[in-house]
Amino acid sequence: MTNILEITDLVLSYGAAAAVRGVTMHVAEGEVVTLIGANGAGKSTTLKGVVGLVKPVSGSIRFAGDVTTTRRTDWLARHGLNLVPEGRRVFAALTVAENLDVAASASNLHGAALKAKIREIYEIFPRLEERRDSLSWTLSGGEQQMLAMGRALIAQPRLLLLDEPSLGLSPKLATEVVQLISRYSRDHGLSVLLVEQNARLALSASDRGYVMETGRIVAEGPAAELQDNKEVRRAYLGS
Amino acid sequence: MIIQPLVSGLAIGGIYALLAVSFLLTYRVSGVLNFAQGEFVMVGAFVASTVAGIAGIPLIAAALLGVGAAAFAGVAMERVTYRPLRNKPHASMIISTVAVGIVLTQAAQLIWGPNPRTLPSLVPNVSIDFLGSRISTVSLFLIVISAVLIVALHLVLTKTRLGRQLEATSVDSDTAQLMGIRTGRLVIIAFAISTGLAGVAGILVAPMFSVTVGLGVLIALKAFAACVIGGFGNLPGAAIAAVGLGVVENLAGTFIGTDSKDLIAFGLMIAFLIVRPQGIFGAKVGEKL
Repeated sequence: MTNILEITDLVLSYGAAAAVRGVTMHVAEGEVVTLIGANGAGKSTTLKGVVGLVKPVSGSIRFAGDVTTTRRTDWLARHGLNLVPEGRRVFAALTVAENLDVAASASNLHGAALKAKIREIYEIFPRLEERRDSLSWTLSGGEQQMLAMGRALIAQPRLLLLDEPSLGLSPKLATEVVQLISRYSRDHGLSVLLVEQNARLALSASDRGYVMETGRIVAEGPAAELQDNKEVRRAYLGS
Repeated sequence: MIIQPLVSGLAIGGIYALLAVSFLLTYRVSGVLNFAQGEFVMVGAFVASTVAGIAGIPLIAAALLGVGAAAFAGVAMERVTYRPLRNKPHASMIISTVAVGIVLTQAAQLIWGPNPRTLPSLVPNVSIDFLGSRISTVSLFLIVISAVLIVALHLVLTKTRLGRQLEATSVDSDTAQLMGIRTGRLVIIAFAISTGLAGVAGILVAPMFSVTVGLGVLIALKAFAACVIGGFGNLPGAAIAAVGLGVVENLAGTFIGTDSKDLIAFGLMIAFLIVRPQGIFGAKVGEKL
C-alpha cells in the first residue's frame, strides 16, 4: 500500500515556541488515521503544517510522493489536500450555496459536473439543501460542521484532514459526524487524517492512530490496539 | 431653484461614492486603508490629459488609457509596498500608503510640471431645461457613469464567484486558501479595480476643475468621510453616504455659502465618529462587501 502522506521529523514553531518537535507519521492510501492528544499537544499545528499554513522549521512532508513545503496552501487545496479547519470557519456572510460555490474554487468542476457534485453533497447532507439560501452564520453548530465538510468534499480531496470535527456538537451528533467520515472513506477510498480530543470516538472510526503529547508522538498503532493500551486508556479514554 | 444644486450635489456625490467604494474594496480584501487613493485620481487625469493632447487620438481612448494607467500604478503599489509589508505591523502599512501618495505627487510634479492642465469632458457641456431649472449634461453624465459603475461592482461582488472569492479573502484569508482560492492574485485584482475606479473618478472630475497634482486630495478625504459616515463595513452603505454627503454640502454651499461646504462635510464626519462610530449602516455580524 502506498502512502498518500509521509511526515518525517517535522518541527513547527510559532515564533520561539516549538509546538511540534519532530513528528514522524504517515497515512496510507484509503486509510482513516486519527491523531489524538490533549489540548495544546500540537495536533492542530501539525495539520496546519501539512497544508502549509505554518511553515516547517525542519523535517519533510510528502503528499502523494511530492514534497509540499514549497507549495502554497491554495495550490495544495486545488491538488487534493484539503483541511476542514477547527471551528468550521464557514464564511458567515455567504449563504450555504455560496459557501459551496466558493469552495469549488479548489476543484476544476464547472457547469453540469459541478451541479452533479453539489447534488452529491446535498444527498450526503440533506439538511444543507434545506438551508441552502440561509446565511451560514444563522446555521447551528452541527449544520456548520456539515457545511465545512461539504466544502471540503466539493474540492474532491485525495486526503482529507479534519481538525476537531466533533467540537461543540452534541454527543449524538458528534458520533454521527465521525461515523459519516469513516463510511465516506470506505465507500470512496478517501484517505483521512482526523484530529480529535474525543479519543474514544475517533479510535472507534479509524484504522490506525497516533497519540501526541507536548509536540511528540508517544504511541502509535492500529486503532483497536490503542484502545486496549493501558497508558492510552488511562490518559485519554478515562478508564 | 433647488433642482440645480441638487443635481450638482448628486454629481459630485457620485464621484465621492466611486472613491468611497474603491477605498473599501482594498480595505476589505487586503486590510489596508490606502491613503494614496486620491493620488490615483490625479494619475488617471494627468495621463488622460497628456494622451488627449496628442493629435489624432480620440478622447475616449485617452480616458481609457488614463484608467488603465491608474490601475497599473495600483498593481505596482501592491507589488512594491503592500506585499513586502503585509505581515508587518499595521502602522507600517498605513505609513507606506501615505509615502506612496507623496511619491506619486512628486513624480507627477516632475513629469507634468507645476502648470495646471485641462481635460475636456467626454460629453459636450450643454445646459438643458429640467423642471424649470438649467442643468448641465456633464453633471448628468457623472451621475450616470458613477451609478452604473457602482451598481456593476456591487453585482460582481455579490453575484459572481469572483465576488465570493473576494469576500472570502476579505473575511478569512487562511480559510480562503484552504478552499483553493488564490488569495495573492485576488489582492492584486482588488488593487487594480480600486485604483482603476479612482482613475475613472479623475477623468470624470477633471473637466469641472483643472488637472493639478492636488486634484484628488480633497475628493479622497471626502470619500473617506463618507466611509466613516456610512459605516466602514458595507459598500452600498458607503456609496449612499457619499452621495448624501455630496448633496448636503452642495445645498449648504448654495444656501449658506461656498465656504461652508468642507466645514459641513468634515463636521459631519467628526460628529459621526463621536456619536455613532459604527456609521449609519452599522457594522453588524455577517457584513458583506
